[in-house]
Amino acid sequence: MTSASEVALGIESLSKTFGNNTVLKDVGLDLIPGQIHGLLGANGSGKSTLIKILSGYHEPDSGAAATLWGSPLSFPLKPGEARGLGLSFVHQDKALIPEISILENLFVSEIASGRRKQSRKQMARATREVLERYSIDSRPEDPVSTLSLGDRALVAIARAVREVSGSDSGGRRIDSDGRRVLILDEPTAAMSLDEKRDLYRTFASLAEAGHALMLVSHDLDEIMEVTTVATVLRDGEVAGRVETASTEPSEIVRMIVGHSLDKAGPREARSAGEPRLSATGLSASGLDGVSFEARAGEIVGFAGLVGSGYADVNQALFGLKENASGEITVEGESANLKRHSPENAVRMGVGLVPLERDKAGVALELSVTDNLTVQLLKPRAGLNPWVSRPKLGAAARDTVARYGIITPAMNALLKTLSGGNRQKVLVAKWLAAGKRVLLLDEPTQAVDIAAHEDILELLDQFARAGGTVLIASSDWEQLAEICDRVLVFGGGFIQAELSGAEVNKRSIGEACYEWGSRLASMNRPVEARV
Amino acid sequence: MELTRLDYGQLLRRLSVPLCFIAIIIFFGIMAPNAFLVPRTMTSILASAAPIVVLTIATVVTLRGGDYDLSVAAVMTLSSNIVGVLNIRYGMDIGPAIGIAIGMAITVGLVNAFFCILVGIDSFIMTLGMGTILAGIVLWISNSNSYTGLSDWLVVLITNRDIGGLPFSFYIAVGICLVVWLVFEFTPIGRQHLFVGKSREVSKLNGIAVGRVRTLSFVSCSVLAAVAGIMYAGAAGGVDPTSALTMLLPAFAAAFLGSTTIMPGQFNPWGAFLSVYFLVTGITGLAILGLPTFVQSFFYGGALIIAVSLAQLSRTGGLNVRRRIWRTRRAGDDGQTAAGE
Repeated sequence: MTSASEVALGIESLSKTFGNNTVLKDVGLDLIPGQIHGLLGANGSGKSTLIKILSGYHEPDSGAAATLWGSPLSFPLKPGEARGLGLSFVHQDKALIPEISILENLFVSEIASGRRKQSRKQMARATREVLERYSIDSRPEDPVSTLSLGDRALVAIARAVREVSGSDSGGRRIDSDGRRVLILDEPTAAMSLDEKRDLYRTFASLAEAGHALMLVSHDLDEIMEVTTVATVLRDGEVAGRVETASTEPSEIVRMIVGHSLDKAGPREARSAGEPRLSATGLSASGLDGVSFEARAGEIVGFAGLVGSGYADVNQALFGLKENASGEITVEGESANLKRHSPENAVRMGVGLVPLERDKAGVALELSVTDNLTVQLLKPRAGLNPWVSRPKLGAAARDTVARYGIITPAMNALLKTLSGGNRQKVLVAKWLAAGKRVLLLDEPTQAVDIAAHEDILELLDQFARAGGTVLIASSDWEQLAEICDRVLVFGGGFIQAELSGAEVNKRSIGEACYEWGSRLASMNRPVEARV
Repeated sequence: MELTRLDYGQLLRRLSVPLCFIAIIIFFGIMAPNAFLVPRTMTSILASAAPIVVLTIATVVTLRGGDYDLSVAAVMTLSSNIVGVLNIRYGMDIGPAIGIAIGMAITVGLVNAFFCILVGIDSFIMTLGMGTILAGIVLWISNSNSYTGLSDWLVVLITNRDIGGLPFSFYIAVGICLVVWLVFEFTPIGRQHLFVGKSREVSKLNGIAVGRVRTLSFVSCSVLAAVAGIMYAGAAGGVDPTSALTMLLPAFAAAFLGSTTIMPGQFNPWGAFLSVYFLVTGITGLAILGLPTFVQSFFYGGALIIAVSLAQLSRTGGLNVRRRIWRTRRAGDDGQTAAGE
């Protein structure tokens, strides 16, 4: 057994600054062999930055200090260096190549580098042992795509463990007993309860074998069930460290969300007008019968944890979900989601600001004018087929001036603009086209603070002028700042509706965690009312 | 007003091909003043390049919409052979023969569109296959024979020099260029087409009917290629089953070269127009200087590679050899560590 004082991965201090933005401030935590350590934090808390520093993706600020099995780590780590030192990462989405066999996935680094030490037969035997040990009912040559999500995670973990305990550790600085540090990044997202249970048993046995595990998860129940100790990050700092067995979940939620009650409700109250949009029985991947209404002049937020459905609503409303069902009505005009499309949505007066701005929102290789006027490309009345380029140019100049878009020139390619100004172009395009409903997915991600404020101001003005805004965001502070109401999702349903003074960061965060866990998602959905 | 350095650079890029064009005219004018700078050579260049101009505009239409159409030269060949075989061998009137050729082109465009859009095949592969099939059909319907004696009406239409002493086919090419330019720049569908070419995903999220725009793009491309074939037949007064097939590369070379000039960064008809005449003039000049015909291949192939390189360099802002090497080395490091030892 390990002594209590032995530390596998000891992070004394890690900080990371992007420009003026400090995303990680002097974070420290210790992983003990034989223990599962939880890492919690809301979006933007610095969790992923911490992991990316450990995997060598980011370089930490100077003064970084950490040890692995007692020896200091020298930052920045080269890609792959962490793995060589016995620090392994398991991420469900990125770990395995679905098209190739289990065997090839397990031995991918040896095969890819051409430095195989074992014959095909030996590798097949080793793979069969792994499959037996983890009770996976497959053959070594089966492609990974035939495995369930749970079995895939097991294969990824098996590979991570094998990398550390493999025979080829000569000359490398890992623990002499072959123990490793495993960082499990959201390994159970989208898994069924049974699959999760199987994985938890594997985690426990790995800990028993003396490995040190860090479990990064949004699922509070999971953290409570699996981990011994948990560290909570908030705004880039360690907000607290708890023994999970002796802590109430609500206390952990408070650590995640913070105690800020500074902002309650929108800037100045807006007055909601006529009903503008209603959604009835939206179902699609991630959504299981969602109904709500939104009025003219109203900003409604969608909140929830990963996989709760909050991020899927706008996609469904804009006709981007395959096999969707339900109905959307905008000002008396209805569309069945089975036959809905972006074309149809735009025609009904709905605009979308998508999550992947540069890939799906704006055409980087076209000019500012082109991007701002694409919605104005309608044939003129009658038989006149032409568009007036001078008029479009004037409209674009007008939009640039009105919404304070900073651009070197009107005919500059959009890729020459900053992220914030690209986003402003994207939002302003819809507003200039007179759309009445605007759907936004994470509208201020990857934009600077000034543009962030500008965009929220823009949305506020739009709502005051009678527009309807639906925002899906993981930034609860932002939702609290701008929204009249927030719908909290869990398990594909609307679980709670917050309005008035309840629209603050803390209440939103608490509701997300309360309804985001798997037990809550089995409760009956609540129908949101206006 | 004062032009900034950026503006001069931009202007130079826009005028790159026209300036090179002027330069080679001066060059050949000095090298062979009596053979090159004479009306006969000039009108022969204008006439012989006209079908290639139209074929290049056809290519520009699909490239601008974000698709490849490698079947254009085969559509051109089939169209000229349909007209030739029906009119010469079977004695059909030239009007219906032209109508059947255009009908064939519309069908080919729709079939290309069906497989590329609804089935989802990459347009490069689809049109490569289609082009091969069409080339086979040409050999089949023509019995691998050439035919001469095409309808006078068509021959006169294409080759008459009633207007300003220039061949009428030149005016047809200019007219097609003008119409395509107007559609590209000043109609809703033309602007949407440009968006579709730059990003299908962005276009879809703007509510543009991407499938419809691409279908129109494929069909217009094939129809223009068929027109090029009819002009080619008219200019020669007869048809042969293979010679137009070799125009695929010149058309792509000129389309890509054209995308670096006039409106750099966009496939545009006037850039393509000038590029065709630039390339054909260069080859004619070299022939007059007595260079063997295989130099043509160097000229067209080289122009394609240089044009695409220029477009790439202007996008990335210069060579980045060091960065690429460094990246490869890092990846190598990673592989090594992963492999152990």
